[in-house]
Amino acid sequence: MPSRSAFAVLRRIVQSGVIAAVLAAVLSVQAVAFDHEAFARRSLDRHIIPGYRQFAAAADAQDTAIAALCAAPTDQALEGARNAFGEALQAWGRIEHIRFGPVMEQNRYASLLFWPDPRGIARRQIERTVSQQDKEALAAETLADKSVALQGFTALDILLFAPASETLARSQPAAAFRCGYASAIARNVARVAKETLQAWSEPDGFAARWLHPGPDNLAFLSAKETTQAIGQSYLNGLKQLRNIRLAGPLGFKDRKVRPLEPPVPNSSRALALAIADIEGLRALLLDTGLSEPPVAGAPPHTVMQSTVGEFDTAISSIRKAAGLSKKPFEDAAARTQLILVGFPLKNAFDTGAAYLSEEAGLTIGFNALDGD
Amino acid sequence: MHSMAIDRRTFLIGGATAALGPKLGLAQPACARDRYVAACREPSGTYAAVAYSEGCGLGHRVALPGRGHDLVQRPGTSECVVFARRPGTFAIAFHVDGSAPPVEFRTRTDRHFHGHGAFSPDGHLLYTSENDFDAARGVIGVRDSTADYRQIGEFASGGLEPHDICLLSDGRTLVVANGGIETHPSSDRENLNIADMDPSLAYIDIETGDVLEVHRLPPSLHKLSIRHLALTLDDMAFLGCQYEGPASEHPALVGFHRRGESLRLIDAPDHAYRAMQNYVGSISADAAGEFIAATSPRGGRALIIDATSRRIVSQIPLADVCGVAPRHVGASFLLASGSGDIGGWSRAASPAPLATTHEDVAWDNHMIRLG
Repeated sequence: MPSRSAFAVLRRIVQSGVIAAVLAAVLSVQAVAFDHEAFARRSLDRHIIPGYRQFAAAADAQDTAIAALCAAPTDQALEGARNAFGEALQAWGRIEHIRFGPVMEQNRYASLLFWPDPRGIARRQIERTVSQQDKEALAAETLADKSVALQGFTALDILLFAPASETLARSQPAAAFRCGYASAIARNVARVAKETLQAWSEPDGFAARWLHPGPDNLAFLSAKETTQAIGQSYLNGLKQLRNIRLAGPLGFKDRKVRPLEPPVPNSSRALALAIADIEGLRALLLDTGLSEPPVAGAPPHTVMQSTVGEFDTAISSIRKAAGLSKKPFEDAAARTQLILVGFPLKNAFDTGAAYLSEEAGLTIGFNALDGD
Repeated sequence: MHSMAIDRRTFLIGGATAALGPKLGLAQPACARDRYVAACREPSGTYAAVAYSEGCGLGHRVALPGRGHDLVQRPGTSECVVFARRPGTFAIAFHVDGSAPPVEFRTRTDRHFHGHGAFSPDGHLLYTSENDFDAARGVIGVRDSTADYRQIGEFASGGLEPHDICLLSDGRTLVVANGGIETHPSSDRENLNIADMDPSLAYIDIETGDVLEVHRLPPSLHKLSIRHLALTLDDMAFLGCQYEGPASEHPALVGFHRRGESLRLIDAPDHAYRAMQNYVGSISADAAGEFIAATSPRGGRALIIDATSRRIVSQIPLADVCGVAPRHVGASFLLASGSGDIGGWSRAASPAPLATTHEDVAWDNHMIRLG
């Protein structure tokens, strides 16, 4: 009996030792500071640069396809131009959550997708440009100096997909202006995409500022500020997607406010764009390592892994909605699917905000996030 | 012996009564003279407007149907009005002593509040900054405080997106910070016109609705949104701004203006503005009108500026700070943060680190001192 008792004591000591060791390991994992420099490097190499590179390639392909349509108008060429538009729009959707750096300079961001537009400014301006055959809209250089509402995907959606767009497949004088204007937009979008990529990656470009914060760096004082920029991109990207891109056209308001027209309504690609947005945000988690263990050898971060799953759930609901109707924001069954998307996006926001404040030490402030 | 027992008892429970003071109705003598009121978010996620005083902590509370923003006190009364944060449509008039039930009122269905307001000197009329969103036009609503705040009129704000408004000492001229950003309630709080922002500072005759003067910054600064105002006793308007341009640019975020003069910005050495991350959330003048405090929740700091020399005299770090109001003594402010911290700054104690206390609420953007 005494030996058994001694064994029990010994076992307890061993157990407590094991517990202590486990605790120590866990604590040491938590004590390891979040590596902001490594995070900045991963964000740049695996997410930002590849995202802009893919967008620039898709924008180039769109430019080529629309130029080919104008040179030789056929049904097939129109189909090619429309597909290229869809690809370029999706490539933009996957990187549009990055709202800092070169894309925010020279009104590049605003020029790519003029939306939301509750007062229908873009449609009026584009229709006037077409009806007046404004020659300044026929060259990318002069177009770039005009209203941002005339320059991007919103305008291309009207020119390539609205009822009169069928004329683009025929060699008619009336279609020549329309095609020339579309081609100038595509060229301008390609230029903006290329300039954004170059401004990041050229020697002494924005990437150098991104990787070398400090007192002489006007954009970033410390590496923590680069993590803050990515964190805000994630949280604001989710908020925009949920509260504006989806809730806006669904028309969730407590008073008589007209629902927003969805983006690119003529091509019915609003949901494809929303999926691209979600893919971009999911990629942000995976590419930057936010969903991985904070340090090598630590257990996986289950909350962030489950957040990846939230994005998958959101995408599958949107796919269902897209399959149910061509006008998903008006169709009752499709709307139900879209309303469901709000929950996983909210979860992804909340878990992301908690992770960024607890693990990365960011201040996700009540007032700092307010913007007023 | 008896008195000693009382002393001992007082000593032992004293800490508890100080902490629970307002709820128990005790420890009144420990309350500082200044009383404040601010909107906040409570731990349960609900929103409220709540009174506060140094020493006594939280006081009278009024529940809000959504997130609040700024408040204004009706002159000569204990009544305050708290406004919804944009694009909210509610406002609630309440007495900080709880002496009468609160009165809730709303905007027209085709308007929403921008979160700020001002009373006529006699407390009869309330002016509110509002968005005529379908016309993308700023308006000032006029309401009758003696008739449950029924709206009796409206005039143009002289620009887009009127935010903070203040009445000059003549009691007749309203100065309006037109933020210049187009928003629409269908699009949440999204900036719809970043390429064409047009902020301005307007002076309006409230008796006629005439726009008397409109001032703008140079075109290169058209993305510098003029949003908040602090008036000194001699009607100098100090402006708190937010920059919507690239984050690598750091224009001055505080400016000043007096009628008939040109609008100017205050330069700051040593990247003081840069640390504020292009964002001033609130601005306030001290009781003597000698100092200006501008807060940045994004930068987690407050700047104190000498109103006469327009030099920065102090930079105070406080995470998520936004609410700021003057104490009754000059050269002193109370600062409140989104994490619940609250601390007083005074010229006399500067540059000692800010001593803060904590309340279990998230203080919202603005705090006012009751007169």
